[in-house]
Amino acid sequence: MPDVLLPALGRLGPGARIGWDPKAEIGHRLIGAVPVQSGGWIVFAAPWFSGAPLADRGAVLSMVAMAAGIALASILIIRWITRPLRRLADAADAIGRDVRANPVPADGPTEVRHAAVAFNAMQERIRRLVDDRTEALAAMSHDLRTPLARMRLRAGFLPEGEERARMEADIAEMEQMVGRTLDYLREGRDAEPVAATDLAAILQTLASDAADAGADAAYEGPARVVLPLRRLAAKRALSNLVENAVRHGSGPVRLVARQESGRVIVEVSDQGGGIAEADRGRALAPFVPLDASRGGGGCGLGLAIAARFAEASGGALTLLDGANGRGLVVRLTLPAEAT
Amino acid sequence: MSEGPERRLLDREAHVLVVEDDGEMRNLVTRLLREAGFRASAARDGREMWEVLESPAGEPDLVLLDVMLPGTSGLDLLRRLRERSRTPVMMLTARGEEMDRVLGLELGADDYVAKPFAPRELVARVRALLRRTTPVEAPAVQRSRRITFAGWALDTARRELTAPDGASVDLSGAEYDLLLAFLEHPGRVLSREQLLEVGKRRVSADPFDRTIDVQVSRLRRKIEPDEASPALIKTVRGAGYVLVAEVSRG
Repeated sequence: MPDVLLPALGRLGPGARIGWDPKAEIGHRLIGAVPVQSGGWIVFAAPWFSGAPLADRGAVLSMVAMAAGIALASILIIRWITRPLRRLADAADAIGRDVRANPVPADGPTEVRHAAVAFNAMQERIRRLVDDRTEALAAMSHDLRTPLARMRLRAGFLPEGEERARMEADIAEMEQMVGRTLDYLREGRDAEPVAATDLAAILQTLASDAADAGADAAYEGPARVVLPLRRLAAKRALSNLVENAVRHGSGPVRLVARQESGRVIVEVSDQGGGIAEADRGRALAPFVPLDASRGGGGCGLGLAIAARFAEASGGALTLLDGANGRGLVVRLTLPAEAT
Repeated sequence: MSEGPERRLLDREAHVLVVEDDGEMRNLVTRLLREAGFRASAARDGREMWEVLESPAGEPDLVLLDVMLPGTSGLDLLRRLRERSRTPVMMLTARGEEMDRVLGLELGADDYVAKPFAPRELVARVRALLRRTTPVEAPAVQRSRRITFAGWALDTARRELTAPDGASVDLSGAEYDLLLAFLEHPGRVLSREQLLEVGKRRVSADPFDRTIDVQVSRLRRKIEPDEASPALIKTVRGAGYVLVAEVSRG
């Protein structure tokens, strides 16, 4: 019996007994019995009772090693499980912005693999749905042009006057809506190659055209700003911004370009009512006209076309307040080098 | 083609063939052309077009060809038409279909009008094309699509200007017409009146069309962007403007 037990035995009182088996591997090493006055015994037992010296170095080391091993294994397993999950989350986020995002690789634990497969199928269905709707919209816009062309010709045969002028204005507005819808749907889908393009020349043309149409519009910036661009797409996007500024804002409309480290910034500013900060996110979404504050007319595609162009070109479109708190500044940032 | 030059000088008698599948559209366009004083005939498709071309009435002075035709497409018709004649062809394309336009111009169309168009615009474009394509000048214009000057290149089919460093430089319609006029008459002083006449080829319904001086200065800003760039267009006081660069075609 270890010495430490002796005082304990003394304190238990007379007649108490303690049994000790240091070799017991299973069961109890310490068994004791204490007599009570009313007759009988209180029997107690303690399993694995061992003294401090038993915790030798080797045991501690092996325990630490084991703990480390378990921790490592858990981390690996957790990562094996969560990495595909995180990828799934990222993918869900990505298709929110672009239904054409790459499918998720189907790996990891069975359940996650199933989720990935189901997710990819869902993405495929969404993509098909969007494509169908897009095609329907494009076909409709496309087909509308023929009756519009006829109307325009027919209006030309009417006697000159206010009625005819109004009709022609309506037809022009419809043409513009159809044109913008097609521009929006086409953006990023045409196979126009990227080539070195003088952006300043495009801005100058747009400013001249707007000025010739009676608007107070001008380009202010370097005479040449060359960067890799899809020229026609860029012109389409920028002309939508200028048209918007002329239509919804009020003069003077200014087109500015400047080169900064690695990027080119274009700003189209007007002096109209601007767009409230809270509405700006919505303003970049397609088919959301915000015309209560900005003049009326239009189908809310101008900014969406430009935003889509910016994204497809590796740039960004942001809406800012005018310099003196009046009007709207639309800032298009484009990478100065090919991406 | 023997009677061509005289005929074409007199727009009023010029014969325009309208090839368009949409019946209403065909009627409206022929009516518009007739009211503008042209002789207009109509064809619904390629077959009818060849019938008119081979009829005793003879070759029309201008063919107005819709790109979107059932059966043989407008572009195919254009290619086949070009194999046998140089009759001026103006294409009707859908707005924004750049590929149609570029292909058409490369296949030998002389001009294009995007649908939907303003009636005035169509008439003016037809007049301008008839005036421009006298038989003497037409083959020359057709053969050389690429005109180079001082390192710059103008592709007349694509209407694209390329700077010496290879950057594509956008031109407005008026600027393109002005530049082309200068390139067709290098070293010759063009008066404001002459340049104004060039501008009339274009149709701008807008009443704010700027003066020639403004247009020339806009063009200059693009092809002479900074002080270091060589002066390509010079002002001749009291006379007009002259392109001083050496021009070559091909």
